[in-house]
Amino acid sequence: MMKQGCKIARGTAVRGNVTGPGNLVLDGQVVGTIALGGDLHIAKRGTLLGNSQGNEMQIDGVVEGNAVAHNSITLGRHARVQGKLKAKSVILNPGAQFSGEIEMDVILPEELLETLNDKEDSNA
Amino acid sequence: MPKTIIGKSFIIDGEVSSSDPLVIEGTVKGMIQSDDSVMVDSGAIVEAEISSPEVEVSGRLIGNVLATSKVELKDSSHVVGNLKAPSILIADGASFKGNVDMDA
Repeated sequence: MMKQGCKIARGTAVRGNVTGPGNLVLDGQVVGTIALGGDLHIAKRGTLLGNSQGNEMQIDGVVEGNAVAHNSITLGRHARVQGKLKAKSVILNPGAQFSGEIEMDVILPEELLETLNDKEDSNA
Repeated sequence: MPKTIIGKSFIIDGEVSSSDPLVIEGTVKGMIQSDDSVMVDSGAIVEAEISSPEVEVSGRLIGNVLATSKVELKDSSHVVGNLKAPSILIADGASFKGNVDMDA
């Protein structure tokens, strides 16, 4: 069992904001925002309409909204997500349905940046 | 039976409606509606109207309770609000301020 956990079961619907320092398992429905210090797991039957924020996210359910994770966001094969994902790494598994924008931390190799700068200089 | 648990230090600001047993260890502000049972754990802070067949309070509750079966205020509870239920238990040590309506 997770420490300081929070679980929203299948028959439960929350309309409003959920905030907490720990982990949350969502098997029910949330209409509103979720802001966590821990991890968010949206289970297969879980639905979130709204933005979410957490350390790590595993999405196996339905999400409409923007998700920001400190670490990684993983979309499982049953995930249906519409919105913007922002995380260090984003993993889309086969079968996951996603429409929107993904933003990861990208560090381009320095040589590439140099050649790009050279090109811009020669164009100028 | 799956339970919904609002963990310690978690805050819900809004409405919660549930057909699962609901255990609150954190904070809920707004409204709680359940078709099963609601338990306000010791350490929990609830500022909400609660409507549920069964309500058990060990923590702090500010708000009215409407129960179709029973309300139980445990010895560690602090409750301000009106209670309406066919059966109401208030334990020795509970602090309570409000009206009681047992529909007698």
